[in-house]
Amino acid sequence: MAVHATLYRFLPILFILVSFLGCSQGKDSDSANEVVVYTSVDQVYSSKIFKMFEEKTGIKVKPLYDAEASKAVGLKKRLIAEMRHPRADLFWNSEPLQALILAEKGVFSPYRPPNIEKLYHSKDLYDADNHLWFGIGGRMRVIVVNPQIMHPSRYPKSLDELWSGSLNGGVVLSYPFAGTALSHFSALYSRLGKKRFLQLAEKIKRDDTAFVAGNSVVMESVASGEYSAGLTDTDDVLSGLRRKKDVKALCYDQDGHGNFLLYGTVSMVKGGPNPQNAEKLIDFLLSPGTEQALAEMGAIDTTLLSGNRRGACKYWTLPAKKLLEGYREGKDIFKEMIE
Amino acid sequence: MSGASILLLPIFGLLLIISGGSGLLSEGGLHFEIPFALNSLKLALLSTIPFAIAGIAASWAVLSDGRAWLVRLFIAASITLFFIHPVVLLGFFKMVDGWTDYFSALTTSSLVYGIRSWAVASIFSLTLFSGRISGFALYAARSVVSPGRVFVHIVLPQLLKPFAIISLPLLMLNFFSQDVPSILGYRTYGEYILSNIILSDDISSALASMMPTLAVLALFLSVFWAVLKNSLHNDFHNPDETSGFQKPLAGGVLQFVWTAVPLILLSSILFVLLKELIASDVSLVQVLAENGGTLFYTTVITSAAAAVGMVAARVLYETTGRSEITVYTMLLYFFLPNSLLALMILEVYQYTGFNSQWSDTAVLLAGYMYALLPAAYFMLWLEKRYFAKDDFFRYVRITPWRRFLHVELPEKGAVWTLQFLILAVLALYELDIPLLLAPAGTEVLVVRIYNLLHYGDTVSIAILSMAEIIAGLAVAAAAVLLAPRRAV
Repeated sequence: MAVHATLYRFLPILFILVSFLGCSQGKDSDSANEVVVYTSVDQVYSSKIFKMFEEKTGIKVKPLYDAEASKAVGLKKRLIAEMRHPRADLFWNSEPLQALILAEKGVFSPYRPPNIEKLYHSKDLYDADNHLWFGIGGRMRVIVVNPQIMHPSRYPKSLDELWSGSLNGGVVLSYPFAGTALSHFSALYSRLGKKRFLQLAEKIKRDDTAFVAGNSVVMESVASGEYSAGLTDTDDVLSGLRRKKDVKALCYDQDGHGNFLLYGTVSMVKGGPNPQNAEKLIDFLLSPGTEQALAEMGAIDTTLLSGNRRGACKYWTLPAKKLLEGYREGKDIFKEMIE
Repeated sequence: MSGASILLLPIFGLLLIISGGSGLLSEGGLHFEIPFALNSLKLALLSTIPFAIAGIAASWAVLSDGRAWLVRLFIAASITLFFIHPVVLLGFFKMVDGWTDYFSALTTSSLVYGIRSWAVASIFSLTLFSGRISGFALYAARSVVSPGRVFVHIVLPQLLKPFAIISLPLLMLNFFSQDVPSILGYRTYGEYILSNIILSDDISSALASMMPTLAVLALFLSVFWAVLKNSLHNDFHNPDETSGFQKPLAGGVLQFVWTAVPLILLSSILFVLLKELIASDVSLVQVLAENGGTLFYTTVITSAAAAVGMVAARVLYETTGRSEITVYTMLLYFFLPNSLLALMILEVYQYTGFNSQWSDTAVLLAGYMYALLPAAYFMLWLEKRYFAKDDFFRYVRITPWRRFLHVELPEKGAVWTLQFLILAVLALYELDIPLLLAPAGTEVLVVRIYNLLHYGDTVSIAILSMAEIIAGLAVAAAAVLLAPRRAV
């Protein structure tokens, strides 16, 4: 009888212990031949790159993926919160701005990959002074249209035309406070200055622009004919084309600065548990072969590393300092754009 | 205080919040964004309507249908709808040709969340019929008066208050939900909160600026709680209280609604998913093999999270749970965004300096536990009120194990299973907790689904959704089978 009573009392504890056993997935991270990567690069692409690395080096990659729905800030907040006892070795981000903010906060440790100067054609694409972050894999911000609905003669040729009010079906873009849209608007703010950016923001508001959660949703909304045009990234359009969606990516402002170029970044986390393995993975990611593999998968369309392959459009980018300034000064305006 | 007026209280509370001028996370001064709040209010009200319809319809069907097995099947179908992720449901609606031409973002969002409300109503109907409402008494009453009169004069008055209580968290859940409307471009208050959290680099300032809003919500909930307690007190002392409804309802229509809607919806979703599978040349085995680790890990971790949530709520209730401070704390946890909750736990974890897969998993479970605790506590609170007190057993020589096996399990088994299901589904849908607390090298299903959606891999999503539905059916079937015969 007493045995039954004890069993009953400890039943929940036993259940929890069994659950814990089920959840346990291996040894402590600092005692294994592994590397911990936090990444907001799409899982379908990054997992293949990690597999390539594992096959080449025998080092196990333990990734933690972000989701587009979290607006690519979940991992950024986590890295800041983990600064006292870092759990990650490496941060591979899908756009530059969050890495710049984290570098400024002291989350990253410097690492100088071999032949770094020869690797890039521009010093704007990596942290040439402190070696805290390195650009990898370029994508462009593009105007997306549905060629079944819109005649080529009506394709917008610039951002001004996109928000000129001439497109009957409306314009859609992802929330300007997150992801690549945040990087793009920060860069635009920096380049245009406050006065001209406010004029653009006013146009966007006046045109009753729709804001949706994520660039893939922008592409889907244009493909389904809900909106005439949108502003998104090339990888999202490539993903749509692969699924035979009626979408077309347009270059814009080709008489001016061109399309805005986004790039991923890779950084070593300060105090991470496996620094040597992290260095090996950075070297692997910053190899033209890896970048080429990403391009073949459709994750990127412009390579940044040696053997630089220009994308289909003329493009521009900004030095990190300018991009950060644009973010700091413009973020309240970006938030107000959706109000 | 009548049940109907309690039903209106949440709406009053939301108006109170709006007129209260609270603020959220704004670095340039605290202000409440009325257009966003009004959008969310519209969405919350519309998507909570199916809760009321399904609650009445389910109760009516349970009472009037003699074929118990059929009723059990309908209940299981309704409950299973709860297992389908709202974003997957949205995908189903968007697959219908021309849907977006005819239905606005608000209508579509309300329908998606309305399905969730429908499922919750079915779950609670079963819970209430398992506990409070006596099937024998109803049988006796039906032998002398019409089922309509039994329903209006006996069942409805007893249903109104518990449903009013449940409508509050559901209304709030729908108010703060942003995943579906944000995909459709419908701007909500949840989205506004998110934008502030994103653009605030400093976690402590984000937390501090949440306080005015939490204070207003706490004030509103204090009023609600006080009114509710008073009402329940009267209710227990006046069991003969009747509702204002006098005319019998159109029973046939209600029964049709309740039985047809979930079955048609569930079979349509399964049909669309199967069609997607058949049209593709992807191997089912291959997709399951690729995602098997994620499915297994998610099943284990969400089950463990639900179990930990249930146990923690019980321990809390038995030790300090009856104090009002605990109740208010639970309510505040309910309104705290889970991203901030996870960051708070992460801050504490960082101080401990632990660093292992074991402690990481424990911290993830702790995150889920705090996120689920308000719901678990709330359901326990209801259970304690709608089931007979067990003082009798103090005077009878019976071992705890025999009491559990022969008394509590037959009586409360279905309710516990449903509580477990609700908590497991809430954990399954939760995105912020695993993103911020999951150990590296693990991935939960919701993150995988979002990534597959981004990539457009609809076949894998269809297979994973079907796995979710099958798991849901299994739990729902267990719940209805465990339900006492008088319940259905």
